[in-house]
Amino acid sequence: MYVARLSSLPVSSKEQAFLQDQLGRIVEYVGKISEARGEAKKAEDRLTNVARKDEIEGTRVLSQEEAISGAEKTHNGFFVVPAIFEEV
Amino acid sequence: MREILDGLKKKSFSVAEVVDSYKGRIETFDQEIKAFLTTTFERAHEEAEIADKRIADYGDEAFKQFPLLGLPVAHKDIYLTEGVRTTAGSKVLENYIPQYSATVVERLKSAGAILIGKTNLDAWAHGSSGENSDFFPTRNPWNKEFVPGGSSSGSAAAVAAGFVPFATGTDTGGSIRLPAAFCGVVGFKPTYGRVSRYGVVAMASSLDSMGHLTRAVEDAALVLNITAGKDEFDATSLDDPISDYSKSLGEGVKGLKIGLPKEYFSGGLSKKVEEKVKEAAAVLEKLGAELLEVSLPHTEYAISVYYIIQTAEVSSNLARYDGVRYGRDRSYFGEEAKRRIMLGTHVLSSGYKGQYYNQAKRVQNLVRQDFQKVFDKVDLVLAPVSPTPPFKLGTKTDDPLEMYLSDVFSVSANLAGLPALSLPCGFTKDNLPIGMQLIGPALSEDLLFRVGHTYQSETDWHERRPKL
Repeated sequence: MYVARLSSLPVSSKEQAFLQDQLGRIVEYVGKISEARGEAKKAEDRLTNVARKDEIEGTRVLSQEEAISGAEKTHNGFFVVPAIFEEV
Repeated sequence: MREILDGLKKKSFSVAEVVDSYKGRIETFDQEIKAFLTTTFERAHEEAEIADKRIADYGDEAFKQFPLLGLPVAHKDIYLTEGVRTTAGSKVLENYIPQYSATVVERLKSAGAILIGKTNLDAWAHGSSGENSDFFPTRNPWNKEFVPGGSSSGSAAAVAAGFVPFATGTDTGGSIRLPAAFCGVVGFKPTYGRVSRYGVVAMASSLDSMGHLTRAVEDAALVLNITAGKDEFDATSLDDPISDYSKSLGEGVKGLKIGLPKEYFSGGLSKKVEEKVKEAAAVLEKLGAELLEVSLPHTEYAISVYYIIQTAEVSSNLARYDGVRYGRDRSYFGEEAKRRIMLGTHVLSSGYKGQYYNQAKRVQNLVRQDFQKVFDKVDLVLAPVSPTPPFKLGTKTDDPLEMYLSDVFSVSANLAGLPALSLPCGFTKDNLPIGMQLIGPALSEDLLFRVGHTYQSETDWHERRPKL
C-alpha cells in the first residue's frame, strides 16, 4: 500500500485487505467537509510564533548516558542505526 | 480529597495508612477491573514516610507548602514519569523507562501528591472505549462486561473504583470526558494551553489537553490550582495568569445563561441520555440559571474535521517511534495506530492535502466561530458527552468508523480549544452511569467549576459507588 510505505509501516497482505476497505470508508465519510459552507477567517490571524533564546537550558538536558539508556543497540555511546548504504 | 487532607491535619490517620488503604483496594479489586499497567507501591510507601515526617515536624504549615500532601495519584500511562515505566498503552514502549517527568507530574509531586501507579489507556490515546490498549482492556467498575470509555480508561475506572482519589488524563477528542461519563466520575478538560503538555506523549499537538478525573468538582479545582500555568518548556502554554479555581465555587448559578445546542439533542442521541441531560439542565434552571436553545450549525462536520486534523498530527507525532533511540520498531504498532497514521499520511499527502487537511482547517475555524457566536448569547453550553450510555466490550470493535462516532459531541470543544467539564447526571435502568458536559469560553474554568459544584450540591449522582 502506498500510504503504508509513505508512513514506514509494515502492513501484511492480510491486514492490507481489511485496512484498505476501512480506510476507504473513513476517507469517504470525512470527505463531506467539502460541503461545508461559510466564511472562515484564516487560522494564521489568531496565531503568533513563540520563540526562546538559543541557549542551553541546563535543567532539562539529558546526559549522554540518560539519552542512550533506552536504545537496544549502542556502540561506544553512539546509537546504532540500520544501514542505509551497503559497503561495496 | 478534602476529607483526606482534613483527616491528615487532625492526625485521624497517617499518610502511610492512606496509601495502604488504597493499595489494599487495588490489590483486592484491580485483577478484575484492570485499571493499572504499573503500580509503584514501594516507592509510594517511601514517599508516605517522608510525608508523615513533614506533618509531624511542621503540622499545618506542611499543607501550606504542599497543598496536596499525602494524596495518592495515578497518572495515565501517557505522562512520562522519571524512572517509572511509561508505555502509552503500546507494545512499542512496553519497556520504556523515561529519563525525565512531565511538567504536570513534577508539579503534582512538588505539591505533595504520591504516585501510586500508571493507568491503562487506548494505545497512544487512540480510542473511545479502552479496548485499543495493546495490553488488555480495562473494565467498567459498574459492570465488568461494559467498557469504561476511553482513552483515559484506567484513570476513570481507578477513580470510580476508589483506587485513587484523583487521576490524570488527556483529552484530545473527549478522552477524559467520555470515560468520566461512562464511569460516573468528574472529568475535566482545561482550555488548550492552560496546562503544560511537556513530557506527555503527544497525540495531536494542537488539540491535546492535559486534565484530570476526580469524584467531586471541588477536587478538580484543587488539582487545577497545581497543574495550571505557564511552562517555559511548552511553547503553547498560555501566559494568562491563573486564579484560585476554588474561590468562586459557592457562588451559585443565579443569572447565568446556559445554552443547549439543538444539534446535540437530535439524531443519534439515545433517549435515556437525552432524558438525564435535560433533567440536569432543569436542576440548574431551578437553581436560578436561564436555559436558552442555541445553535452550533457546523456540528455535523466536527467528526470529519477532527479525524482529518487529529490523524494528520498523529502521523507526524508518531513518526519518531523508529525503535532506534528507545522502544521497539514500527511493526509493534497496533491496528488502530496503523490506521490513524495511514489516514493522517493520506490527508497530508501530495494531491490530497488541499481537499482534506486544508479544507479541514477552514471548517475548524467555522466550528470555532460557531462557539464564539453562541458565547455572545450565553455564558456556557450544556450538552451530552456521549450519544449512548456505556456499551458492552466488543460491540463497536468491528467498525472503526462506528467507534469514531462516539466522539460526536466531544470533539468540538477540542477543535475550538475550549474548557469542558463532564459530570455524572444519572444512571440507566441497568445502573450504568450517564454524564453531561459543560463547555465554556476560553479560560472560563472557574465558571465551569462553579456551575458544576452548584449542580453537585443539589444532586448526589457523584456520591454513588459501584459494588466491586
